[in-house]
Amino acid sequence: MSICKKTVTETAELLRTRKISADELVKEYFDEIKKKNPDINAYVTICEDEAIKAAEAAQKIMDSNNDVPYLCGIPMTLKDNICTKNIKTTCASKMLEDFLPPYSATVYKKLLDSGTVLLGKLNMDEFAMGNSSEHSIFGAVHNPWNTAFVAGGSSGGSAASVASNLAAFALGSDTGGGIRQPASFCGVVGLKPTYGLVSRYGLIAFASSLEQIGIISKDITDCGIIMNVITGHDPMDSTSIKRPAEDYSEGLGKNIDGIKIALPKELFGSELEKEVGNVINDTLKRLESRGAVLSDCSLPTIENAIHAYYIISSSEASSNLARYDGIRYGHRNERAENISDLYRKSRTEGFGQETKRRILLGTYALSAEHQDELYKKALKVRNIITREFRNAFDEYDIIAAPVSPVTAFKLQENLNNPLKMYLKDVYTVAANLAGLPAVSIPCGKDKKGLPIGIQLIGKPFSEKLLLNVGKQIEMEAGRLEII
Amino acid sequence: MNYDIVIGLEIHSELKTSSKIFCGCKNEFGGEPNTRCCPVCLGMPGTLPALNKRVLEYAIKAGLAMNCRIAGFSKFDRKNYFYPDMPKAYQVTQHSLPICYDGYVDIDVGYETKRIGIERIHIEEDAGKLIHSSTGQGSLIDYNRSGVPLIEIVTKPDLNSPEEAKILLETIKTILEYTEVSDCKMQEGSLRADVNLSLRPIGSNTPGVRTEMKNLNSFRAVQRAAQAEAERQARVLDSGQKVYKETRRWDDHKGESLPMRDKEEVMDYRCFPEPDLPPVYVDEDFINEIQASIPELPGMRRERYINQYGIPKYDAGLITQNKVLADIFEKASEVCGNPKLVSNWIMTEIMKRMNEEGEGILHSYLNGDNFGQILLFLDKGDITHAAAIQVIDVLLETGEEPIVIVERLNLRVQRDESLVANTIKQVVNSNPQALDDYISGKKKAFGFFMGKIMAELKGRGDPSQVKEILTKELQRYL
Amino acid sequence: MTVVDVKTVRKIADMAAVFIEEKDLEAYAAQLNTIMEHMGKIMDLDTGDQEPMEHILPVKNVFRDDEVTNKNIKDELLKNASVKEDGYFKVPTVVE
Ligand SMILES: [Mg+2]
Ligand SMILES: [Zn+2]
Repeated sequence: MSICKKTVTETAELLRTRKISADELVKEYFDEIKKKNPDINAYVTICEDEAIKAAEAAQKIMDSNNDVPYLCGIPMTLKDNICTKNIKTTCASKMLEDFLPPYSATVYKKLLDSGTVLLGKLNMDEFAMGNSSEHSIFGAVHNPWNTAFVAGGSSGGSAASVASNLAAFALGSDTGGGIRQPASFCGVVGLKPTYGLVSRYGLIAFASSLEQIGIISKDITDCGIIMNVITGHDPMDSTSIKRPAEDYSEGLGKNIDGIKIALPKELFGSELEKEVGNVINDTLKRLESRGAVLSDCSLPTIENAIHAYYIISSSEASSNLARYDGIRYGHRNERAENISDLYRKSRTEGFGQETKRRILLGTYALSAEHQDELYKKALKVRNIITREFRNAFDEYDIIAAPVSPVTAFKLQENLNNPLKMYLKDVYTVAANLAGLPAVSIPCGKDKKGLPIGIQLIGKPFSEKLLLNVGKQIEMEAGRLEII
Repeated sequence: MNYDIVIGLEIHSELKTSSKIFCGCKNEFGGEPNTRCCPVCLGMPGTLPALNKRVLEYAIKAGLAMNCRIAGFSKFDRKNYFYPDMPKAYQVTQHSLPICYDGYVDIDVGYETKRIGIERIHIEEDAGKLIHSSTGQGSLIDYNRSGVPLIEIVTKPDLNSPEEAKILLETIKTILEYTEVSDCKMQEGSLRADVNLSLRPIGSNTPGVRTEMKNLNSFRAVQRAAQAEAERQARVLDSGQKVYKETRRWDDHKGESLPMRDKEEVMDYRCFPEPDLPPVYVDEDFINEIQASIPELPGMRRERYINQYGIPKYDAGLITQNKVLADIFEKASEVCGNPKLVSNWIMTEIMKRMNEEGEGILHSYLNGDNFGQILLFLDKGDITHAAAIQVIDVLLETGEEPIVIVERLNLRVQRDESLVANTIKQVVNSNPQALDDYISGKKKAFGFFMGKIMAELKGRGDPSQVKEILTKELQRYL
Repeated sequence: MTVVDVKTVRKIADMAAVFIEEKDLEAYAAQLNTIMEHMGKIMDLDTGDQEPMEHILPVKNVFRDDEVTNKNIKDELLKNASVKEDGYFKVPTVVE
């Protein structure tokens, strides 16, 4: 088996026992990247020289020091909306094509401190707006299971890189399903942590009140290990929470007797493809056989989650993306004759179609004329949805649902129908509106051989429970591996 | 037609914190361009704000000093608009729930006291600065001021004349200086005002359409701009035309204002809650702590000066209008023991210099202690009035101790009776014509002798002593 | 019912400082209209006297101390700007 197929846990063991050195390991990964990336298009920037240097440094630490961080020498990769000092961070946009951040995201700093090695930066939907990773100046990400299909999005590059063994793990961001849906489409684990648990400092903002940086990993155990590194209060992010550290990798797989799992009927709606539904139901039955208690429930307002989500996220995006004017950084039209021309031309050239569409939607929803009926209304709905979740969690421990009503769709299939594309987020956006942790775990495949993921949503800061139940699913379904 | 003038002010004041509002950059005026900046205050992608606690404290302090209520719950909003000095293309401000509201400030208009309502005081961030390129092509941006903390004080439209507007701004400046939340250096733009003005036919209850004039940065400009705008609106209304709700720019050189944008264009700022900053809850204890730190304010201080030092109300009002000046007065009175003398000298010599050279002299070598020493010399008759002025001149230049100046320049009054008498004799003898005049009854000759003698004594003679001896000396010839 | 038409697109594009070519206006209007018609369903929902949710976190009063922690990194900050002059960022003349 190629060493690149191994999990973080397995790889760490090989490094620790000197079966391979960190620099050899990194070279293996670059061989794999060179072989596969042209077909998958997960990486947009490859940091080979820097990575080899970092791996050599990691090896020195391992050679000389007894107190070696667990992740020392582990090759990893980041979605290209996470700022990396002096390494291009593009958001897959012409706007930031040449942007070299003079600072690093807090999560990246934490990963560097723990000795991991950055292999490169990953493709995505421009500014994380989309669920197919087709809206990218670098071209679409292809699904490693079948390259005619999308990888999902917006963290499509993150999911595809891990699924095709081009990194031991990846970080992505999840604003409305941006980690969970591509993880589900690519057959890997994707975790969106509770809002506030992971610092957003250095994550290029799309919709600030909804998004979190999260993890895409080969299995649940890896996910827990990486959570231990990236979580924690950050004074640079005023919305990051102060709370005692937890060990997310500890005790995974312990029994789930009596764990109450609710199945909201609204998240099993008519749009759900039968095949996907069947695999989810089978998975739930197996959880039942392991002691979980399943119940049906209703979260009525969740049906409006998708509306509230698109209104709020576009509104925030219209403000967050207003700063791109070509003056201090980013694409600049060189022929502009006056300041208003400079704004208009730079922004028109720098942003792709979908990004412009969202900016216009958000501008509309925030305008004086429509703010009350759209934006403020959406905030009210957000409040109701959050309360409905809270009430459900008084009774149940976990809410289970599909991640997406469909498996990966064909490239180009939905590109000209934005609304149809948006509606595919129907099961994932509610967790973002309510700030709840949610994980996507591979649990089967459809007849086309495309992966299906199940989603577990928990109360705030219940990541450990989610990972534990996720581990049970993983033990039943096994890891999905591309042969 | 005759109109009532209705004016409200929006006053922006930079807070004198050490660091900026949302990042650890230095909050200081000037500096090499873009050297007091970081990714946060430049609005670079992925950066986030972190609120400086002192900004909140200072805003509350200013609010309490202006008799405001303090909001138990307040929050931040984004005000979206494009302008090159606004790096994020939105200003973080408190649009919907300001930290302070519903206060008032009393101002003195002539002999009357008038109460002006304070609608709200909110916290926001300042923008960068644009300058013209020396090449003549293009504009240059310096973001050193971007992220400097501001409070915006919004008054109720309770002001009814340009003069009242000016007085209110002066009064608020004094309060901000006393509470030490702002240095109010108007020439550096750390205190600036927008004037909202409308006219209403006398006797009518319907408010007129108002215009706004932005960024006036001197008292004079506020008063002149308001005066000119009131006159302009009156002309427009008298000619049967309409006043448009618009923003105008005041040109202080030309003494006129012009509209800033098209009349049709109404700005839609799309304000919404800032998702990157959690709300602020303020409790009684926190407010009480800040309340306890507020010093004696100008109004109270003025009353105390009248009662404790017995100086005129007018003088007390003027002196307390400037905290540094009031501090100098108090210290000098203590040192020299004659508050009325100190007050007189402030009202004349010091005010004259402030008018000529600006307030800078209060921040130079002059302080209450050395000023008091000079006046003590004067009060004891050790130096003359003219010499006291000379000591002040030298002090402002060299910063030497008054005693050193007095000794070095030999300014001490010459009281040696025999020396003075000899000088007088000599002067009288060497001016026979004047003596003849005096003898023949021309009293003017006495003044001539005085001048000659004082000059001979190099200005150091004690006039009363000289007068006494001279009178005796001349008596001998009559 | 059309909620977003060409005129609306022109207006919001102007507000958002983007430029939509005349030939694309119709298409944008049609797409945005389809989207807004759907998302606009939220208006029909009875939200009673529910307050708008402005912050999802029960977090409040997050402050930093008033300390200067940053140094001059002018060159790094100017690195990404394509037009600059004498340590300033540069734009076409802004007439005040
Ligand atoms: Mg303001
Ligand atoms: Zn800064």
